[in-house]
Amino acid sequence: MIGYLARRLLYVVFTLWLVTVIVFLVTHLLPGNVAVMILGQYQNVEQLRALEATLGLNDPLPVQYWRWLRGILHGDLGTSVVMDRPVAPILWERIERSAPVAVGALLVTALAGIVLGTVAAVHENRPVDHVVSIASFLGISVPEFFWGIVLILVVSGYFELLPSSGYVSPTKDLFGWLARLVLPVITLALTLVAHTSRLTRSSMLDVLRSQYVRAARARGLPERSVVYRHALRNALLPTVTVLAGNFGWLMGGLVVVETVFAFPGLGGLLVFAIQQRDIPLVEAAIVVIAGFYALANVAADVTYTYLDPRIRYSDMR
Amino acid sequence: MSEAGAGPRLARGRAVRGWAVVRGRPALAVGGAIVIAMAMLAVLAPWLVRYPPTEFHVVDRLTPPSVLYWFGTDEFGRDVYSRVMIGTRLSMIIGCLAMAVCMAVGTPLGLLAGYVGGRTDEVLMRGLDILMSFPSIIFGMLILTVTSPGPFKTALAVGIVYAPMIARIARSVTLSIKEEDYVAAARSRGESHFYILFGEILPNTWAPLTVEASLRVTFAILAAAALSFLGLGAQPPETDWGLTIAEARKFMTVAPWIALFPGAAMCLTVVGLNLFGDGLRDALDPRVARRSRG
Repeated sequence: MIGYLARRLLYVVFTLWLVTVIVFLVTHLLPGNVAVMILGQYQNVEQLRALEATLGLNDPLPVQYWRWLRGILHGDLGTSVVMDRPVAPILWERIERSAPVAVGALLVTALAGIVLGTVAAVHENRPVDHVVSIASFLGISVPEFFWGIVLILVVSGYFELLPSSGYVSPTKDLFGWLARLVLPVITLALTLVAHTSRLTRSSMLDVLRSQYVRAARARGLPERSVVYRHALRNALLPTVTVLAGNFGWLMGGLVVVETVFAFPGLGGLLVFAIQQRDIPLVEAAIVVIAGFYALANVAADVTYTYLDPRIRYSDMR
Repeated sequence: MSEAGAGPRLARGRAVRGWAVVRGRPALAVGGAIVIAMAMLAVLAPWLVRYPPTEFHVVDRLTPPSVLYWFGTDEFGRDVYSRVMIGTRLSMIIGCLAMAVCMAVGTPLGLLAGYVGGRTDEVLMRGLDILMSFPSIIFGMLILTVTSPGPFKTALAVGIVYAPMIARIARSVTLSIKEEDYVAAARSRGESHFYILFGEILPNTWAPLTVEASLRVTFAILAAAALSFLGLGAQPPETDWGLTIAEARKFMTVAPWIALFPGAAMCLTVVGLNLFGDGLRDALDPRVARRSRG
């Protein structure tokens, strides 16, 4: 177990290193000088030279890369050009705001997706099943940003139930904080709930047809116990993996959803940084997001091996 | 997918069989009809608009749908119907272009990895895994960071983002084709690797890959729309679904029609493509179909 975890974490480190290489190459090799992008059309030669010197753009690429990587390893993620502040504290503040949204969405997804999928499978080909199937089909066909806008229209605009955008600190106004969390969480979860319920339904159907479920029924166990004690546990294996794998989708969705709801989190920060051409901020945000994603994937694998005793760690590379 | 090798001489038979396939499968028929309709709208958009899509009707700002303006007008008094038509065209072009880029980048990589195998395969596939370790929208944003945005750059970025996915499929198809007799025959004739790869294997990967591409073109369309929504796609005065919706956000409570109509067009297209894709998968692989339909 320890060896397996160590190997996986080593692989994460390797992945993250390559991510830094890719991020660096893309931001430094693609046509378009960073200094020119930052200054936009209002540049003059002196400003350009000065900024190039500040950013160290005149050094050879490997030197620049090494300086950046060494900074990251020392916890220094660079300095935001636009805000003129170190990137790390900015990122940290945004992560603290986004984490409840992401975790909330993941919880809603897990709960709603599994419940809906199970209900649909148990009531196969009956009205409940059809309703869930159609709803989840719509769910995967409509992108988050459109769901978000429709929710704003209905919930905030028409019924005036919840605020449509913004953020307040939970220490200042706990209720206001929660109220502004609801719509982003729902929006983010909708697509994932659809995916999860479809997946749970089909794996549940497979399991319900298996020999051991038939055996359990033949022994005269009550249907409730057959479904929840015998079938569901095994049907959830693929769902768990996919849930953790969904984390990456969640990070991407966060960017869009935070923009829709003007929520000042990690995703909103990335969009801001890209619009402002704040390259150090963009680089750091993307590396951090990729890091979360990689760790989530490890967590998925570990959970899976833990849940499924058939898999031995030694078999896995 | 087994029809791959049927060849053109069965064209007529294929059309008849095509009808038989559609008849028992409402999803395929409905999805196909929606996709064809939306594609026609996209092609015919320049003739379907009722006003120039960028023309201002200052007197008629933010008017609700009416006989004059079928889908209402936006904050500048531009006709939303005309903008949806033109936007649908641009969005569809971006989606198809992205898929083309995806195939052009992913297929050769997958072919190479599957055919050569060994170290090359390992390195290529690990590399692609790493690329896939970025959430797709984030990767697209990264590519678009350093260039000034535009619809074709978005298509290129989305294509690159989803290329690893196609490469994986191309690789697995290649792995199975590699063992076929005709490849062994070509090898024993002493044909070059280049010929075997592009003359023997590539033509036979075409059918399964096209199916995959058509199943996943919704990813490309939705990713491009999201990037556009974030301001990294079409630039005003040009427009597509994502940008129209982004611009309409501010007026959501006063003039919801500006966002709802392009949104509906987008959802209809994606629903159509998904229905069509599911139907196609059912038709091609009855085993999967029975399982997923129960």
